[in-house]
Amino acid sequence: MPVLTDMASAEVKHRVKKLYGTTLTRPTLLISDGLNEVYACDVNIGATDPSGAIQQYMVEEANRKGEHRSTYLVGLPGQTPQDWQLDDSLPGHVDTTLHNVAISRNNVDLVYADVGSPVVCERDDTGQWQITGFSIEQPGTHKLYPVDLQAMTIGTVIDLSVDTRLLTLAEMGEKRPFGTLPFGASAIFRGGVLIQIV
Amino acid sequence: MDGRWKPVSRDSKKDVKVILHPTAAIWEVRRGMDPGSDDSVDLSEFVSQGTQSVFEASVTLKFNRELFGDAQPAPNQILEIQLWQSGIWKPIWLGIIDAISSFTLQRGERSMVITAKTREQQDVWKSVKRLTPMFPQMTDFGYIAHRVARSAGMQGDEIILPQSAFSTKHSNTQMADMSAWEMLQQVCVPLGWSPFIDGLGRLRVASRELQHRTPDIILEDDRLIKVGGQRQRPPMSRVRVQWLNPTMKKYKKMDQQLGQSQTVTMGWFLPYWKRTFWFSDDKTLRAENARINWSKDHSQSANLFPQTPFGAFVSENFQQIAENKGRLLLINKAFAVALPLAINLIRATATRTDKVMGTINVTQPTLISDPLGGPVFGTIPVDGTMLHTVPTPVTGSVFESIQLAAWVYIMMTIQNGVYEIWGTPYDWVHARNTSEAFDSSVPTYVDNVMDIENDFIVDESHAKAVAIRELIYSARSANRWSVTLVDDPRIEYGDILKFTDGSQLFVEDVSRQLERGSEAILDVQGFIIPLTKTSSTGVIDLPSPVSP
Repeated sequence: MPVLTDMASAEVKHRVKKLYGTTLTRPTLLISDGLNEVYACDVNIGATDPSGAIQQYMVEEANRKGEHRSTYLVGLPGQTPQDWQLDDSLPGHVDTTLHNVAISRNNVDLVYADVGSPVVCERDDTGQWQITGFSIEQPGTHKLYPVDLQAMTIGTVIDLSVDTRLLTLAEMGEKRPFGTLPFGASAIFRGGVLIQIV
Repeated sequence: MDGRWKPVSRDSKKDVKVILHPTAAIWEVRRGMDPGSDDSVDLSEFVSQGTQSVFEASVTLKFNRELFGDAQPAPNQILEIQLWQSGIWKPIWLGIIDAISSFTLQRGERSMVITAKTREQQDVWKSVKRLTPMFPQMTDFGYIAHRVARSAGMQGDEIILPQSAFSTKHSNTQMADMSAWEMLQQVCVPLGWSPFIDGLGRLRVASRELQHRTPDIILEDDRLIKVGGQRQRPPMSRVRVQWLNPTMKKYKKMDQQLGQSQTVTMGWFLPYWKRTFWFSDDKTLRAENARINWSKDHSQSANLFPQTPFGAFVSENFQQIAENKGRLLLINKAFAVALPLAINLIRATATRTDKVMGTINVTQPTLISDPLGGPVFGTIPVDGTMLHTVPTPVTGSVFESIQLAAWVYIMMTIQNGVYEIWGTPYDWVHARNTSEAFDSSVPTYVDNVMDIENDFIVDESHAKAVAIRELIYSARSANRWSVTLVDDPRIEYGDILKFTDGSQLFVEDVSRQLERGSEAILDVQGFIIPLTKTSSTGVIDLPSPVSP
């Protein structure tokens, strides 16, 4: 691909001001000036980071400094941070979550949106993302197929699809002592494996 | 492989014709010009040097005065290159003149360089943005490619596409703001095809599948002159195919009021009231579990209509009749309508009168007062002779009071109801899936990613096949090789050449010299396809590119 085409492509991507995503958490009060409130939630925006190189670099850099990190923390201000477990066996830690995305004001539907709602995020001139409405498109499955180009073989399929949904009654009793999780608790799954209760 | 040709004998010389067609269309040249309409101008005697590749031909012409004026080649004219074989001249390449350059006029030398290109490099293919018709579900990909090619000016016999194995799965598909060539590529990627214009100006496709392909041409050692490597690029190590999942996913919003509240005036005067209730003003909101909200805080309708010993006067019902609308139906119970009718009937039957010869003949006691009947104080002449006296006016007053009370009660049952319809809105959304094939041996710091966005992918297994095929193709094509052969006009873009050592070359371009009498050699550029290795369990089959 010619250099000019590369540059043009990069410029186009840089100008992207809209992303389709899926809410991973229920909106939570982010800030308030006493009169108005700003709610925010985490949004799964799908695979945008090639091979999860950035997250992998962060973890590797921490390991290089002797700070072994297999997890990193997520959580809104004032909340107890929760661990997001990273699976070191994966070829690159793919983080597809845009954290603490503010919800535009006067949008009751969004504030009360349940996890898993498809939303559209728009970037304002200051570079901040905010959820502005519901979308008709959302990130779907993300599956990786390792190929050995020497032996021409295909390895085991890696499913990195991020999904979020309400926990079933059985899952509530299985993941925590029964009764400690409220009805309506939801969780984030990656490849069908529960990685975080939200 | 172009089956019209045979390999050229070793150490033979080229016999080439360069012909200009000032007026003919490219398909007329290919079909063969009729005697009398042949506009061919043979430029061969002016050719001092020239090259022809798959996509371009460049010819330097030296002349005296022959190519001045109307005889001078011009852009958009057809340039034809013919080779002599088996006793006849046959076209091996047709192109459209793109430029006349290096036009030189000096004492003793007049020259120009003609550059011609294949059709797909014209603006009509590469620059002009287009809009396709809307293709419904189950439209064959080959048909879409055919339509795109026709829109760019191709004749039916110039489009040679194999049978495609896929059809559209989305409810409707339309491409917009893309050039015709981009559209073709978009359609061809899921099929594993590379579109190209062959030597005769026809649209064809080459398979991008590299595994388990039968070589098109097997070359013996004596036809190989030279092998050289060309620029090596970092190979592609990761291909991400992003595609719009045709299967939509349902998501629900929170339970909420749908549409606007309905205010209804209902009473004894209406047998029923019915209205279609849309869940939103634009009539597009879908919802489920739609119902009347009976909470007094929201709907001022519940049981407002007077109760009777026989139940409510009006029954209030809401029924969802479509995903975006319902029907609010109020039914006046039968007695609410029948009651006034019954009262009037009583009045009518209570005063049965017979007309006899122009006078009234009261045949039974009247129960109801004037003007319809009794009580009557006095006498009524009957038959002009007999007087009849009504003795008990009190009975009529009682019945009159009852019927008046009933009338007022019924008329008081006019009410305004305010109905709120609540439900759970939902919608169907497309998921954009990502299927990613990557070279597991490449470390992250040299990862080379290519993104493919294609909404013609039908499902996950199809996406997997496309991702793996494109990864293999892209990784292999990073390392280009050049092979010099004894000229073989059969070779064209997309062919696989097999050499005696077993190695195979995917042909991306060819180049031959056009000077008459020059050595008959051909430079072939392409990339090497490694031999498929076998494991202990045998050959590992990659997913087929043509079956989902």
